[in-house]
Amino acid sequence: MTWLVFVLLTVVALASAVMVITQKNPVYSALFLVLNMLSLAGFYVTLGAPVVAAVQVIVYAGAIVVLFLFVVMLLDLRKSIARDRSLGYEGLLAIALGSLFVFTMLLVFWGASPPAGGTVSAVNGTMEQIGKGLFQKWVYPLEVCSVLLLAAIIGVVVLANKEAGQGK
Amino acid sequence: MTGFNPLDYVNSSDFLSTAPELLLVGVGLLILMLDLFLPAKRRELIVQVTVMGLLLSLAIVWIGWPDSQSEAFSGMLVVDGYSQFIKMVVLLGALLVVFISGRYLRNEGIYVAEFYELLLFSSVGMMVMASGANLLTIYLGLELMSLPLYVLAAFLRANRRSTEAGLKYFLLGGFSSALLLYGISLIYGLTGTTNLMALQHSLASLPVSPPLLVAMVLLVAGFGFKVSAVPFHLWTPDVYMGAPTPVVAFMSVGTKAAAIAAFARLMVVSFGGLQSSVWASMLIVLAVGSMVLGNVVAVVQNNVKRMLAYSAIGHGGYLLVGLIASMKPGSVVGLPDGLTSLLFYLFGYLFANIGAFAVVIYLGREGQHESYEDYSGLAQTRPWLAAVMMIFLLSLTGIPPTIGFVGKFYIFAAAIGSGYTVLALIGLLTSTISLYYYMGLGMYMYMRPPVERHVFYPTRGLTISLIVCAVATVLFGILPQTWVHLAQSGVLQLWH
Repeated sequence: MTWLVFVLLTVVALASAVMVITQKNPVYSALFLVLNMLSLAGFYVTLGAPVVAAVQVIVYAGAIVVLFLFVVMLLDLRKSIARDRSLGYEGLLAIALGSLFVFTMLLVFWGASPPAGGTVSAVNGTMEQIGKGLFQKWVYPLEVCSVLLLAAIIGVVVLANKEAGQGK
Repeated sequence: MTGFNPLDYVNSSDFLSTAPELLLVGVGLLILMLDLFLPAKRRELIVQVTVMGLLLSLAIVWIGWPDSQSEAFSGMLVVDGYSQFIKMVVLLGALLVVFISGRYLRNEGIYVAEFYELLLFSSVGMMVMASGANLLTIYLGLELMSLPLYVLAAFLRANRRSTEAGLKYFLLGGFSSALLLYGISLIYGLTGTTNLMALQHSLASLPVSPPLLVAMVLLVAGFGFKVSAVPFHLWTPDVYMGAPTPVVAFMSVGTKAAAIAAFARLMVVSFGGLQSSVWASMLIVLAVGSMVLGNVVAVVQNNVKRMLAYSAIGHGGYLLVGLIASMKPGSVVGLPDGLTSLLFYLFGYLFANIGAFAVVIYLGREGQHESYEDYSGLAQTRPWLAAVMMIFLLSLTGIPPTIGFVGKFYIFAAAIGSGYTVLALIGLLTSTISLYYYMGLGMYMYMRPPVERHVFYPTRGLTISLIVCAVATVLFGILPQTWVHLAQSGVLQLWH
């Protein structure tokens, strides 16, 4: 049963990921991204982490992709839809090298035995566990994350600000 | 609910061991607030606060220099002489860059507090990487280092080349981060831990399997990008050309130092000499490629910034030689000599490289007066400037009595000591090639008649940093012992 759910989720996740990058209309791309996020949330549920799954749905599928949609609709990207879709030699090279990479990875993981060294301990993804983890053992990475987000916000303000940095 | 006591996990010694980083974050926040309330005339205060913060952080690093390794925040980071040495290099680099950037920012009309904030946050990221003892911490440090640099590279928003540099650096940097993260997740999947010490135990009992090899390749790709090692170097010339010169000076030293420090810690502590032949064979390809391509392509450049970009690729190769020299095939733990030479080389590269970029800033505005012809006859119009530039170029080539010579000497000696004689020979050979283009610039300065249209942009900050860099380059080239011992004791603490 778990196996079936896993396969289903995998197929949906991979297919929607491919659809995200092959759609002509960016709005459709964003919607397929939602589907992709939702299937990832499904993985988290099967791994025993319902809180992470809920966060995935609320934050990623909900807030972030909706923001994407806002930007896409406000920018009115119609012109770029009609771009030249021929590949050129760079595209062919990229496809060739990408296929080589996928092929190598398949070869590597085909029949690779599960690791002997360590099995990840069973996750107990309740709210309490996550909260304790974040603010006890992992508090330092959490704080580094907060500085990282602050730096990102400052960076966006700098790049989007009309007055600063006009060059002359 | 059972008692939640955060102090079980965090105590005051944790905060003390991260005091340099915390201080810089605090200064960054302070500047953010100051910027809101200060009138435009008092902007100088922001620079002064930044300098004070960096100096204080440097003082904390210096005073709290550890005698042995200690953990903090439940093993998320460690503080040892090795991490402190890298932090010192990063802080000195940031300090020199603040000094050389004042007039530049005003000339380009980007004299804003955000520049200093992003510089500080990026330095914090580098310091987090240097101390990181957990793959997660190292990765977050890498992102905190890179994200501000992407923005800083695009800081001249009206300049097309700068915007292009920022976007290029961002896209390729994001891609390389993804590769690194993939490698980290594979390692986690194989061992069930991200702690470097715990990894050591797990990896020791793990047979060499294809997934582990793939993980190693991905890690090399992720870190190789930051060191701009061939074949992950393609972004380097364009980003160095387009990004603001002080930013380039900062990232050429800081990014390399932090990335190679974290990578070396992962390799030496976690793998502890395991699979050293696999690591070595991968890194040798990168090192030889970087040394040869960087130095050969630099010969045909006619733009000083672009020449310095290719030479930076070459210097990345020399750093990798030091890293390779720390692994002797068959030995269980790494050899300290290689890493010691690596640290010392970074220390020397710091002064020579930032000094060279300071001269570029002295000579002209962004995108102007960067060709070799603009340096013609500098020895007649500005004899002192030509003299210090000559010192930096000699140091970058590796000619005594400069610090660059000592650094290269130690690196090649360590490589020969570990049995990589051919690698050392290639290094010597490519250094000879670098003599050609560095002295080509020297020839323009000393043998050509001066050009008329020289405009100079001297400031007190530029003069101070030029003097500091030149004095350090020569003085520590003659008396390197203190720093070599410091680097050596730091490296020896890695395993304890």
